[in-house]
Amino acid sequence: MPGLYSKFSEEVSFPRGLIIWNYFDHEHVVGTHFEHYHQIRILAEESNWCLSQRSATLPFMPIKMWATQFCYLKSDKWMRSFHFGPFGLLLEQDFHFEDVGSQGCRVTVESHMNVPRILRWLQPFFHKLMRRWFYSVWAEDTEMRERRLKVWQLGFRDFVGLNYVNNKTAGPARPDVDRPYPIELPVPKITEIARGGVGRPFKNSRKLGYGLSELPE
Amino acid sequence: MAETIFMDEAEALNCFVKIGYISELEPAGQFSRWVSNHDILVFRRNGVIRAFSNVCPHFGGPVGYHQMTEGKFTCLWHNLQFDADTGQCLSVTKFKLREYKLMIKDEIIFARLVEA
Repeated sequence: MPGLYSKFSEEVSFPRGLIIWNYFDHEHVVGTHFEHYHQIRILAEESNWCLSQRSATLPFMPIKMWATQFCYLKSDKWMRSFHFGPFGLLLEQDFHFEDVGSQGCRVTVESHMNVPRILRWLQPFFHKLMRRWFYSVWAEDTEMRERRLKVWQLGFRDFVGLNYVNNKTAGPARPDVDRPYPIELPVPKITEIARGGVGRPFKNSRKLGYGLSELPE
Repeated sequence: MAETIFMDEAEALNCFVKIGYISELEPAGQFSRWVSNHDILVFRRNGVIRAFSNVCPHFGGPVGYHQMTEGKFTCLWHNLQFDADTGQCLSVTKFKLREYKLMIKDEIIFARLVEA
């Protein structure tokens, strides 16, 4: 394998449509991943691809770095992503989504970066860097996906919310765990592509998390 | 402003469900919790305890993930901001958080989930 390479794979209990929604909801990187990303600007987007600029702080290197990312859905089970960084560096990634039962998915991420032969000794560092990045972002996405699935199964509609909450009526007796999660791209945006992008609206956060545990019956 | 509810105690207990304790508001001045398929954000503002829906109408993110600052809540997922006095979204004007009516008894906070 030429250049630097790493591969990670995780099995999750989310439907494939939700995982792809998460990857194509580009605006969430400065929200959910606010500790890593500072700004994102979507330059152009169509149903199965997106070109964006992102400012991020990488693990082990406390410096802000801009990169241009192009990602596209080659099939409904395979996403390709290209990150163009400084000094002509190009990080290529393949995301494979494999169904596990009706509500699960295995995500496998392969990352490649071509470098001159003299820099091949960076392979262990590259692997460590990608691993740190993958798992820190993965953990934040997992919480997001869990919540998204929960509200989805309660009947959530994008840009509307939960009808029974809004209308103050009785809610569902139980979540609809079989509600299909279709792949519908592009994910609707709250900002316009032509604008200057979006960033974090605050400097510091006191994180309180996703909430307290449920009360005993 | 928050609404004060006056009703018979037996009637109230039928309408309201327990969502937490006053002590859970410390030290951040707010907490959120799922109760009966409602995610409720409880907070103290200008000495008054109030509760909004914690579900962002955009994609369902947690409005109360960050501590309220300068009278605004900022949803974690996409940074949509909401006015803590009105629940009005300051980023997308068509969004507004539902406010829950509260009842407090013996340091326990109850909310009315169904009104219609």
